[in-house]
Formats: sequence, structure tokens, C-alpha cells
Amino acid sequence: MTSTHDAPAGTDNAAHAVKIAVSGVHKTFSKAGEDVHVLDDVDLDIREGEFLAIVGPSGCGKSTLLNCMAGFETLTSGRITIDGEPVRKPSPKRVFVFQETGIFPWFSVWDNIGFGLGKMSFDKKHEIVMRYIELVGLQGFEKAFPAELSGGMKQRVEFARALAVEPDVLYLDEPFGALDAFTRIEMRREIVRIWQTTGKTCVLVTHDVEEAVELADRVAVMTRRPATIQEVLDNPLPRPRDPDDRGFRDIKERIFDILGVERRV
Amino acid sequence: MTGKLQTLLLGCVGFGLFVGLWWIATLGHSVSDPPSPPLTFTALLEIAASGELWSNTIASVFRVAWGFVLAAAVGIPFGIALGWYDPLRRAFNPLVQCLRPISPIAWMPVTVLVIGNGYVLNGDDESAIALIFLSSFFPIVTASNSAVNSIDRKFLRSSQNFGVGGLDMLRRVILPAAMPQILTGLRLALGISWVVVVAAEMIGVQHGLGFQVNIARQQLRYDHVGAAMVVIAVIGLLLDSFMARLERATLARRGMLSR
Ligand SMILES: Nc1ncnc2c1ncn2[C@@H]1O[C@H](COP(=O)(O)OP(=O)(O)OP(=O)(O)O)[C@@H](O)[C@H]1O
Ligand SMILES: [Mg+2]
Repeated sequence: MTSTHDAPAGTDNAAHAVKIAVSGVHKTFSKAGEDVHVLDDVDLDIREGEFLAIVGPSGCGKSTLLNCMAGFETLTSGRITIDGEPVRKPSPKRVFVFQETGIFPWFSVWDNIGFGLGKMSFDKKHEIVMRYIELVGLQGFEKAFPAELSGGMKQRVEFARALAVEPDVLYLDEPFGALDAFTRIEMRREIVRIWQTTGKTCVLVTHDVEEAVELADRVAVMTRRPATIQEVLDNPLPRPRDPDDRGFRDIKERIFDILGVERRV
Repeated sequence: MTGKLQTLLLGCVGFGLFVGLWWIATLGHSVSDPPSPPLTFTALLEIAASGELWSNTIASVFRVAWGFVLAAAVGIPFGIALGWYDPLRRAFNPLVQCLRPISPIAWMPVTVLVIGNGYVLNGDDESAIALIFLSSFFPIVTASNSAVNSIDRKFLRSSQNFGVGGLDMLRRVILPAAMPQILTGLRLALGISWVVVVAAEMIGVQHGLGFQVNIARQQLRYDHVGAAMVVIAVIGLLLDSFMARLERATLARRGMLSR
């Protein structure tokens, strides 16, 4: 499989080939003799280069589904393939971005971003690390430790660390959940920009419907536990998107309808 | 600056009160009574001048250093292994938790009997070192075990995600993540060691601060007992602040102090 190593593919030429195929996935956790049936026959196709969001009520199994796609959890039954290959274990080809930042507090920004690069000459590594530091706009902070950075900056480091290994797929599990409202807006814009310049396939999990509509090409709506994908909505709105826009509000409305949520307070 | 001065002054209040009460309670006492502060101070100068103080201090610190370093050298890897391999933890942790609450003093007859014969070092050194080893080994194992066991899953998953596993993961993720808690365990263990060494030196040894306390008691020189106690306190404080400093320096080097 060719990846996007040298020439990041633009979004416009994204082929509609299926990148990740989830079919008939069941997941049951057994804890203290009690079975928790979380995923119930989930089917979902994720296309090469698209930005797909998964929304659903809290605790319905969104993170579980993402963990299965990343290879962190094993399936009870069903099948998940990426480029036709079954997912068996985690791989740098598909990188997970954690809700509370998963960067290592004991490493500097530079060491964090270079974490997954393996053995290579210092000069080569430095070149790559600096390229991604620049991509996320953290020039001058390469020697800083995470404790010295703001929440948004830590998230940038995490994105850079993920991108530096040139994955095909980014899994984003509520990556903005821990950020304040202003930083969240800024980071959403940032992730769209990164996605547009690198052409990765992005899978975002969120319980924020507005966030999903703002970012994604398609929105998959999950039901309560045991969860399945209820519907996948197309979101053809042009970017940049305005939440006050008519079309934006319509899509949001439809998602809330599917979720069965009365959102007026 | 004023804050520091204030802390210092307030810290002296406790000492001042203690010394004052001690003084009043021991007014007019002689060297064979519980000693007053001035008597203790004079005794301190005496044992320092005679050289007893130094040789005994060195003997105690030597034993603690050996016992503690050995316990750390064995206990940290063992604790990490327990925290990492679930079968190993299930096999050995119950045993460790069972042996841990046994007071090191209760081990004393055993260590004296088993290794008190002086194969390598002086006989009394060996059994004291073994006792220090036992008393710091269990806290160090427990701290290292729980440090590794409680590492945030997202760090482990990140590491796997980037294809970093095995020894590389141990060095770059597990050790640094567990380090703060291991250091806390070491500091605790060193404190216990110092308490235990003095007790261990009360029986069957010819050197050490515990020996000094005991011999002074037998000679009814309670002023010397008091002086030895002051020295024990000061060295205990020095050891603890040394560990605290090491702890802070290690964390600061990794930028983890301001968490
Ligand atoms: N390792 C596990 N063992 C047992 N049960 C688990 C485990 N992981 C998740 N669960 C259960 O699975 C269900 C779904 O969890 P999951 O984290 O996937 O939900 P989520 O949709 O991501 O929720 P949220 O929006 O709150 O993040 C929960 O009820 C949870 O208790
Ligand atoms: Mg979740």
C-alpha cells in the first residue's frame, strides 16, 4: 500500500476507496463475572482521506469502537480491516490522539515528537522533528517540557508526535474535550488545516454534535448501549463552516433528531 | 525573602518550646538523671572530642548505606517486574504483603543466628546490614510494584502505538513514569532504615550510635545518651533532606516538578 510519504494528497482528489472496513463487530467486556455488551453488530466504512465523525450518547461505546479500530482492544466477533488487512495490534500506520493529552511529561517537546521515529541519525531526526514543530506552530518550544505548556500547546505536541511517524489514519478520541472554549475553536481550525495539508484519513469521536458537523465530511450516529451505527449523514457544507449557517443548523437538527435528544433547555 | 524568614522563625518556635520545657523539666539534674539541655550539649562536645561520636556515626551510616543500596538494587527491579507481569504479581505479592508488616526488630534473632558469624565483614555489621536490607526491601518493592501498576494506560498505549515495546519501552516509558513513586518509596525506606539501624545496634554489636546509646545507659551516663539522640536526629534529618533533594532534582530535570 502506498502511503502519503512524499506528496500529501489534497482532499479534492481523495479517491472514494474504502480505507477502514468495520463489519459485524461485537464487543463484550467481562468484568467480575458480569458481561457488558457494548458494541452490537457495528458496520461502518471509512473512506480514504475523509474526515469522519462518530457521535453518540455518553458511554455508548464510541471510545471502545475507536480502540478496536486502533488495535488496542480485541473484538468479540466481527472484522475490522484497514486496506484489506485485518487489524490485530497497534501500529504507527494509525495513530491515536488521546482525550487528556497522551504526551509524555518526562520528555521535552523535541523528544516527544521524535518518540516514534525509531533509530535514525540525529540530523535526520532533527530535521523531521523541526518540520512538524513548524507545522503545528511551536517554534521555539522544542526544549520545553509539557508541564510548561498550555493545554492547547500540549495538544499541538500530540498532533505533531502523531504526524511525525507519517500515519495513514488519525484516530481522535475527543481530542478537544479538556480544552477551554477558545482554545477548542482554535484547535478545531488547526486540525482541519492539518487534515487538508496532509490528506490523512481522520476518525473523530465526540459527543459534541456541533464539533462533528463543523469538522467532518460524514457523521456516523451511534445509539445507546448496546450500540450500533444508526445512520451515517453526509455533510457537504463548504469550509470554512459557520455554525449559524442555515445548512449547518439543519444537519445539527437532524443528528439531534436521530439521537432523540430534545436540545432546547 | 520575608516568607523564608517567616518560615524559619516559625520553625524555631517549636524547637524553642521543646527545649524550654525540656530545660524546666530537668532543672538541677546530674549526668545519671535524664539530662538537661546544657548537660547534653557538654556531653556532645565530649564525645565529639574523644572521637567516639565519629567512629560510631560512621559505623551506623555504613550499615545503612549497604543495607539500603542492596535493598534498592534488588527491590526496584523485583518491584518493577511484579508491577509488570501479572502472573508474577499474583505469585509473589501476597507473600511480600505478608512479610512486610513484620517489624524488622522481630527479624533480629533470625538475622543474628543466620548471618551473624562474620563471613565477609565484621559479624555485627553483617547482621545489621541484613536487617536494614529487610526493613527497606519491602517498602521499596511495594512502591515500585504499585508505581508500575498504576501507570496511566494511555502512556502504555501511546508507546505501543508508536511501535516502542520491550526494553525500549521499559527505558523510555515505564521507568520515567514510575520514577516519582519509586523515589518516594526510597525516601520512606531510608527513613525506616535509620530508625531500624539504631535499634539493631542495641544488641550484640560493638560500634554504632545505637551501641553508644546502650553503653552510655549501662554506665549511667544519661548525658551521653541524650547527646547520641541529638546526633541520631540530625543525621536522620540530613538523610531525609538528601533524599528529598534527589527526588526534586530528578523530577526537575524532567520538567515534572510543577505538576
Ligand atoms: N475495559 C473495560 N472493561 C469493562 N467495561 C468497559 C471497559 N471499557 C469500557 N467499558 C464499558 O463500555 C461502555 C462504553 O465505554 P466507552 O468508553 O466506549 O464509551 P464512550 O462512548 O466513549 O463514552 P464517553 O462519551 O463517556 O467517552 C461503558 O459502559 C464502559 O463502562
Ligand atoms: Mg470515550
